[in-house]
Amino acid sequence: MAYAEFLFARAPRPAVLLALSLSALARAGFAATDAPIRIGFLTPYVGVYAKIGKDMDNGFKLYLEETGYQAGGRKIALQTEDSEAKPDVGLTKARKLVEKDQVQILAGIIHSGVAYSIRNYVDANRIPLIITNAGAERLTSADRSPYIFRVSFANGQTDRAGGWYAATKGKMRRMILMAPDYSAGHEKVAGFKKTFTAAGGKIVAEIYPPLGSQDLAPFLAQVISKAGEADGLWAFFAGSDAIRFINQSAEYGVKQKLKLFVLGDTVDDALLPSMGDAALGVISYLHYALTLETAENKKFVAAYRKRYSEDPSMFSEQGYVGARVISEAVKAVKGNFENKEQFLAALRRVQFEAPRGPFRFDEFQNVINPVYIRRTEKSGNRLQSVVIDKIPNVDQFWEPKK
Amino acid sequence: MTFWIIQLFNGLSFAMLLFLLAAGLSVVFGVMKVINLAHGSFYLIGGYVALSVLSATGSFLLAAAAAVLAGASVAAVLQTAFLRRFYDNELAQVLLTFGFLFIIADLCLVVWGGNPQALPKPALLAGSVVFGEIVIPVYRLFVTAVGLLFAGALWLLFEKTRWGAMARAAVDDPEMCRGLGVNVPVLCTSVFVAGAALAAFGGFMGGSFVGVYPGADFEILLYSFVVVIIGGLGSLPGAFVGSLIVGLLDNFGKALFPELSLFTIFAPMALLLAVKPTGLFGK
Repeated sequence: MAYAEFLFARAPRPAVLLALSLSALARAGFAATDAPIRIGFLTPYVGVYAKIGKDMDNGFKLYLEETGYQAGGRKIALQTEDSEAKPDVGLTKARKLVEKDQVQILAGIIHSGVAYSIRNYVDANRIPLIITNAGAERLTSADRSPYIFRVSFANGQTDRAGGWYAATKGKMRRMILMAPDYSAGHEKVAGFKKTFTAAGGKIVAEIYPPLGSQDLAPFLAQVISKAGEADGLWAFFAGSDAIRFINQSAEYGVKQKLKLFVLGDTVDDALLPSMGDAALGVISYLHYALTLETAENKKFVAAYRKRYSEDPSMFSEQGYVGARVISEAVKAVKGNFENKEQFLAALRRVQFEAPRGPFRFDEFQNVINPVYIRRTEKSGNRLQSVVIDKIPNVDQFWEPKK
Repeated sequence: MTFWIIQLFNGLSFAMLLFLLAAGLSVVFGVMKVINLAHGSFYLIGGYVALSVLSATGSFLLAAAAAVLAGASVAAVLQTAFLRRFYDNELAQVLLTFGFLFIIADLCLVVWGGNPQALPKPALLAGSVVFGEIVIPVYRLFVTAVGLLFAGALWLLFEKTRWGAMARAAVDDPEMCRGLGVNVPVLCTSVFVAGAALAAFGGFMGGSFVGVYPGADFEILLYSFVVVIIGGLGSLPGAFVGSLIVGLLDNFGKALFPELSLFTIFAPMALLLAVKPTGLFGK
């Protein structure tokens, strides 16, 4: 490199230009150059979402490590950035990754607000974006872009399967719904209601506590006052809200009066130790379960435990799958990543067995997932979510077969 | 009726938790004229240290003692090594506590990780009391009782002891107090450390029902400020009454008008500030 610069510095200008354009031609024309494919990974490393951001990062890197940071004969270089889970910071960092670090693919994104904020930027600059968490539903429907792919879920997607299950096999015909009062909460409720009411379910009440309520007891008192009219309580809460919800539901005896049926985030494996017996017997649904007995999952869980000395979460698995999706597409185009149309087409066609089950995209580039119905049980001293039923091929517009 | 009784007890228990924080915040302000933004950090430290000690030893008494000790020692270092250098320079002190809020939050993230956690409850306090339709968790009754106990003890401390008299004198007129031979910087340190110990104890008590997690420091700080503003800066009775008002308003507000839940605390606060800017008991 130093030698080349030395030559250029002494060569007459037209010669430099000629040499530069020749090398540009060479890059465009022939695949398998030595230059690595640069991936920018954008996730929060500080703040409330720091832990799940780290999980996702761990999963993503685990796959790249397993494959030696290469795919289809090309090296892969990874550059990470902290979005702080703030839409404005996320956009600035996405720009920095693309314009300064010259990354060619973006991946990651926990927060739906960040995902929406960078949508126009990646679309206008033709940067493929592989979302490994943010459920912002419009990004794979009304506001979709040929450059945006999602390997996690759209808000409401998993809940469509949950709503149908509750009204049918779950035998919860009349339900009270409870979710935090922000966009993801409302989007998930909408998905649940759609299939739940279509299957003959009746909604007794909808209760929306503010996100991050210090105390859920006042809302639970409302649940109790309506408990006589309902069979079950559906809920979606995450993080510290989830711990409060499960623990306080047990304290106030809600669990004795109503069946608890929740989105998997509410009884996330990482939170179960803080819930203890309060979480026992809770039924949940999610596109992943740590306890899945498939070969892919056992291999993934074992590798993850060995590498990080802890259990993977749903976010770790999403990161792992995201890295694999990119890798499979690069392999499919035999490393000729620079032909963007071909690469995007290859991304759309990616299919493989993921830890969660069979992986593929729908026509809007959003993942089609299996949804697992799980029950929290105790094995020895450990609480875990055991799979009791499965709904295959749930896409973001899923409806039960007639 | 059932609904109202359950809500009343909910509100009381939350109010007493807030009191443990607001009492320290208010008195520290009274004596030092410093808005201690790192007050929430002592709550966080208390909660996390209690969690670690509890999982290591299984003893709730040890966990509580360790939480209080940890909060007090961090406060002692913060006060003697940093805040005291800027005596009488309130802006520098407030900025310093603001910086420590972030530093301590990040250190906690490094040590205890980002997963939200909750302290288990002692078996004795884990159940619920049931009267017909009314279900009240024993732990909440316990928090309420402990809060009342502390309110009484603090009142005695401030009204009936020499130390309390000195602290009250320092609130009213620090210069005169110094003139009478009271070592005000030492007094400041003792008040600051006691306030922090109380907040750390709050972290231990609150760890079981609101949990400990990154960001808990900020959230509880916000509520404590509302309490102190309503009750009046520097007043212990103000902190008590303010806690009751905020705890009950918050609870009934959430239960009756969930969409307006923040409004139900902040609107009365704004109204009170317009009518009586010093708060109910402030001077």
